[in-house]
Amino acid sequence: MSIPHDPPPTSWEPEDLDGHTIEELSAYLDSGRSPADPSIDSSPGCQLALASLQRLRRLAGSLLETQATSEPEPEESWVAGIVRNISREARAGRTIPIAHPDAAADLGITEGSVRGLIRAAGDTIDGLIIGRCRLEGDVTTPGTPITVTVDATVGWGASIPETTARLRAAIADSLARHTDLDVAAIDITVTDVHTERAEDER
Amino acid sequence: MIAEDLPRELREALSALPGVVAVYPARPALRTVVDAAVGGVAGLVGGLREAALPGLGATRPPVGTAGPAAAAPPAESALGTPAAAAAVAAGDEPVVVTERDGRVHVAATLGITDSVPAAASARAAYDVVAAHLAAAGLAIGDIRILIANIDPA
Repeated sequence: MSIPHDPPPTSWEPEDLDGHTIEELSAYLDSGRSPADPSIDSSPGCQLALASLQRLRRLAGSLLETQATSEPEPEESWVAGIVRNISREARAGRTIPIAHPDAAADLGITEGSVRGLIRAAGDTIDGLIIGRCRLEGDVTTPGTPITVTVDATVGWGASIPETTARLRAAIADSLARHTDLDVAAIDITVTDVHTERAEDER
Repeated sequence: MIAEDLPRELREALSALPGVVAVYPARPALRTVVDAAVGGVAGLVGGLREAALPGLGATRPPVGTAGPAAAAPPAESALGTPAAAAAVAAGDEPVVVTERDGRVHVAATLGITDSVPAAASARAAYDVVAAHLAAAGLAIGDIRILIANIDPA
């Protein structure tokens, strides 16, 4: 099982996560966020990454167990790829403007939080895991059409057309609800199909 | 004059908004102050006093003592130059309030839940800050509200 991903991040990661690494955040989750670390708790980038890591653990945990028991050499690359994407996408990124009639208003939403919305939309689809998501186009200029591109894996046996249609609708609804983005297209690529353990095997 | 409690009051007002779950340090506004200070050094802006910010290497006055620039004597920045901007950065308060050219500039970075649309949350945040400043008789320069995290409800 594999998901295309960028080369491993190096220099950008601590800066993007306010000085923390994805490994530190994972350990923070392991410890139940105790003792509290204010530098993590006050960082929106870290909070986005933590939320994504939690989702990944919840969704992928059983898949990893399945792989461990059914495959001689579980590939870590697909999970590692998702984790790297989570880390990268937690960056604040560009500021997406929010319109307001007052000239004194300078309102916006970070690109990172919008990517978080897209990942959360994926949570509404059973068995679907978003590997990577991007906003293509000039999101900083109101009214500019943008394209959302998403890579995802789906569960074995699920209808890919139906699953992607549901994901597309969920993303569209979420972005329409929270942003002023002019979403021209939502392109979804299913990069892999994973197996899920049956209930009676658990 | 900017009251020393203003950042705290704004933080409390923002925290009370429906859907707002966090008020993060608004570092972009700090950058704005730094940029303004650099502009002052360059002679683009002058005659104002500075409430220096942590990390800039300048002396920081007591919280809330930064008043209208015209009413206060110029202070020397770490660079030996009359500084360009007045800021009220009260302790660990995440909401940053600065004063330039007789107008108040506010920056706040928020975390919200998705129970309220983010755009509506940002507009509501602007409205509450603007109303607070107006009630205090302060002239508004700009109010920067950034939504940086949206937690699933």
